[in-house]
Amino acid sequence: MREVAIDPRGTWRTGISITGLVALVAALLWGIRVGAVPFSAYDIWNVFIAPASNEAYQIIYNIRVPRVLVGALTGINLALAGCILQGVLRNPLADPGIIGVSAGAGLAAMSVMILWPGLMALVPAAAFIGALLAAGIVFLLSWDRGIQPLRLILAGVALAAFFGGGMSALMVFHSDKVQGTVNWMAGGFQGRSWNHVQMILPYSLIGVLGAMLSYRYLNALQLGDEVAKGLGIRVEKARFFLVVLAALLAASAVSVAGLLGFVGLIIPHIARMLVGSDFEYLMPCAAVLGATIVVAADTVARTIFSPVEVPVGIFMAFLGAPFFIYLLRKGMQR
Amino acid sequence: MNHTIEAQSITLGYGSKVIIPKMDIVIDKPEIISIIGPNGSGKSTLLKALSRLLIPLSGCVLLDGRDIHTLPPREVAKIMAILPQTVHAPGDMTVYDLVAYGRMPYKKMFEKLDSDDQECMAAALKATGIRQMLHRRLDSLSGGERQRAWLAMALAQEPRLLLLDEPTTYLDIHHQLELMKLVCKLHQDMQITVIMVLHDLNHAARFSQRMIAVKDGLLFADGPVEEVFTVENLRALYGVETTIMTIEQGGSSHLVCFPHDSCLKQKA
Amino acid sequence: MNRITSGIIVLLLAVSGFFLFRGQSEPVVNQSTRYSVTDSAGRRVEIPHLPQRVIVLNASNLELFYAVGGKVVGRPTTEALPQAVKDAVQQIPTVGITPNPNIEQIIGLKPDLILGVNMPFHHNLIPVLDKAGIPILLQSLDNYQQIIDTLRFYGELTGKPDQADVQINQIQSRYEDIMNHNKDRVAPKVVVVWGSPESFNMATSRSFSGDLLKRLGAVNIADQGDDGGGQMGYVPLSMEYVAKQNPDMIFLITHSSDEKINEKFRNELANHPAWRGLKAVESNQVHHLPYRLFAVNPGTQVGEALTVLAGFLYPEVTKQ
Repeated sequence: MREVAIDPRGTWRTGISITGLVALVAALLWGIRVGAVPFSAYDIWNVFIAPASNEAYQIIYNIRVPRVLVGALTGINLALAGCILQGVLRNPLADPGIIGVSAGAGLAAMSVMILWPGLMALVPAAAFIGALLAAGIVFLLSWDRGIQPLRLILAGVALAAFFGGGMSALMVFHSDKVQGTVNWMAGGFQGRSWNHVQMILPYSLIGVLGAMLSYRYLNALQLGDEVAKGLGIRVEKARFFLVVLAALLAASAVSVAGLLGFVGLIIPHIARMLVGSDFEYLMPCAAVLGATIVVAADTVARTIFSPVEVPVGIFMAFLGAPFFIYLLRKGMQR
Repeated sequence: MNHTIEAQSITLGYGSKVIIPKMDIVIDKPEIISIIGPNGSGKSTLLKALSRLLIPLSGCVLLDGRDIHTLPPREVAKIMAILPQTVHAPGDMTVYDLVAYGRMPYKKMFEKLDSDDQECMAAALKATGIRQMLHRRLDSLSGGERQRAWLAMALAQEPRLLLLDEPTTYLDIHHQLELMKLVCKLHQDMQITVIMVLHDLNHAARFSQRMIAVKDGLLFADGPVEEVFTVENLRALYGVETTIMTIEQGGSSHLVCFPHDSCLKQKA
Repeated sequence: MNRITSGIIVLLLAVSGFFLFRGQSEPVVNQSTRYSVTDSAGRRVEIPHLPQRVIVLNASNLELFYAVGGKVVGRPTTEALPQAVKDAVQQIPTVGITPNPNIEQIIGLKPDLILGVNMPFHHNLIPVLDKAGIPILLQSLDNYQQIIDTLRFYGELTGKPDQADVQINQIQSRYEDIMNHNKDRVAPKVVVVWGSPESFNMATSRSFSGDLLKRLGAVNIADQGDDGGGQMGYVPLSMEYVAKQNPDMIFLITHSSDEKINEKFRNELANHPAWRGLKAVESNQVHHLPYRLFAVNPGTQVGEALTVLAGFLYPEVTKQ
């Protein structure tokens, strides 16, 4: 099959990959370069090659670099989680929140912030555990000889409603303390440090490796359970591991970034428009795209009204709405 | 190599609803078999059981003497390929991508497609006559072309058993004929056993050698076409009076049925 | 091509890992001598004796700090300051609104002490400030006593304990005055309704206003409702409960100084069917408390706040 070697999509995909990587590096560098306190490129360069104990070092090394990295890793994790869930559930509206991680993380984090404010440092850990517990409950509820997609969605909705009620209760009975939680709930990277990088990094690694191993299964699942089984795939097992992977990715992202919405939902769609729905290309593209957009959005959000920082979650919501309208119109035209 | 597939006293159902109380079938040589029967009689259910998609409530399905549900799925996929009634794939998938999936049972986690795989895929594409559409998107193909692409994927699995669930339902007469001829050719050239659930009785009579008739979840008849395809049987199965004729065409004779105007009331 | 992308992602992760393990930042050396204090969040913090570059992150603490002669190098963006303080800090750079301080700007101003509040949005700053070697104290001003204690503490910080004493005495004497006059009065039953756009709450004795009322001897009906965690400064308002308790006096506090909103607030309450039947409404004992002294923390004006309340609670006395 000599002529097979030249897949006409190949050139386009390479082009997108390279552009994406360039954009990501540019976004990272830009994020380090700009901020509330201006520094020259020379100052920044010095921080890395000749670190001295001055405020430039503190700001660049301990504030901007970790913030930008946490943003990128969060973007990667959420985008991958979104891809996986949309693939496994065969539902274009699936996003990491659908399996309950946002609800669990939100309730856990809010509880700590309101009831035990002295333990603030534990919020990310609490959010992570809360996220996984919630996801676990959702899995249990949806189990029927394997994870059934429709049941998973319904269980996720039910759990989100229940936990949402819990959060509302906290807000009503501690209305004077609510203000402190709002930033986290909106989702953002204010005050993120190397600790947060440490928290999310292992899961990003797991996620990327997992994605590299599993794209074939995701693709096969798109052909339907019956065909996939006919191809020799253990469909229930594959779905289980994929959903667990997505849960880990989402939980780790939510624990460091708060309830940052839309990334897991929109990025896979944009990536699909760029490179198609083959998961072999979709997932890396979505990961790079997610990282770039989150870093760029965060950089804009924290400089546009300087010194006031807008939580990037608000930004993403404003970006998300027009995107949905676009999807709506595209769908109508078909 | 000859593969045997056997259903031993299987009971099939979904949840608490039993569709097939008991059935025994043995398929031990390459032939084209069609499964016929009225709506809801359990034809698709039977096919699903044979293809490992449905676990019997009791009894077992044996492939080469071993319980099909204890065999590793990969091994089964190398022997048996199935094409369900409705298939869906992302519209932007190309024919090449789809057919490549047929090679999945043969690849380990990280393995890329090698020259053997490419040859296999080439053969499948050639057999289904869609080689020139290699890089076309699935959503740009006609119904018939798409069905052939799916068939090519099934063939890329190098199956000895091919199970098709109503493969011609959404095709026009031209494409129906093409697909059936293709199936025959595959059987002839590669000695593949084909088991099809068919709605169209004439297709079943014309293109298969053996017919299995299912009624109310029980085996009504199982044998060569001439023995099963009779007026009495059709009357009992469908409650329809027919005339069966023999038509000479293309050097061989085929049985064809023509249903009469009135329908007999179905006996309770 | 996906190999490239996957590979570079792995690279990104490796870079992150490298930065992480390269060793945390250079340790920051502190010249000034330090001593240990405990803040409202229960943290033991090492702070310099006479900090020269203080940044205050909220209005109340800023007002207290200025009252004892303190000077800051960074301030929050807020309108809730008395005019005098506002004028004084006009030129000082801002570091963002209280719930959303800009950590870069804070560090850029090279402070040697930060004063914040015991809320999550300031707790968040601790890890980064720690790395930079900048101490932060989280100060709560939840009740009368804390204002006195904080004034005293700030007096130490600024090296002007006398000025602090002056302020404190001013407040204390006012307080004692009021107490003496009202010693033998009958304690009225009151409720404090705190209104914000989305909800109405009752203030318990754990809130600032509630604390003042308690000291003045008033019986706060919200306290009987608060048997829960005891943490809550505010509980949701139940009209039926208020009707049942039928307090002698109702105090209203709104979150805004805008008269239109206050009007709306009053009307909303007035429209409730049970409202008109309340004793306090009939005897015209519904009082709207001034924003400056009750919606925001009165700080050094706490004496003023007490006077206002006493005026309502024991009007015959105050007229003298």
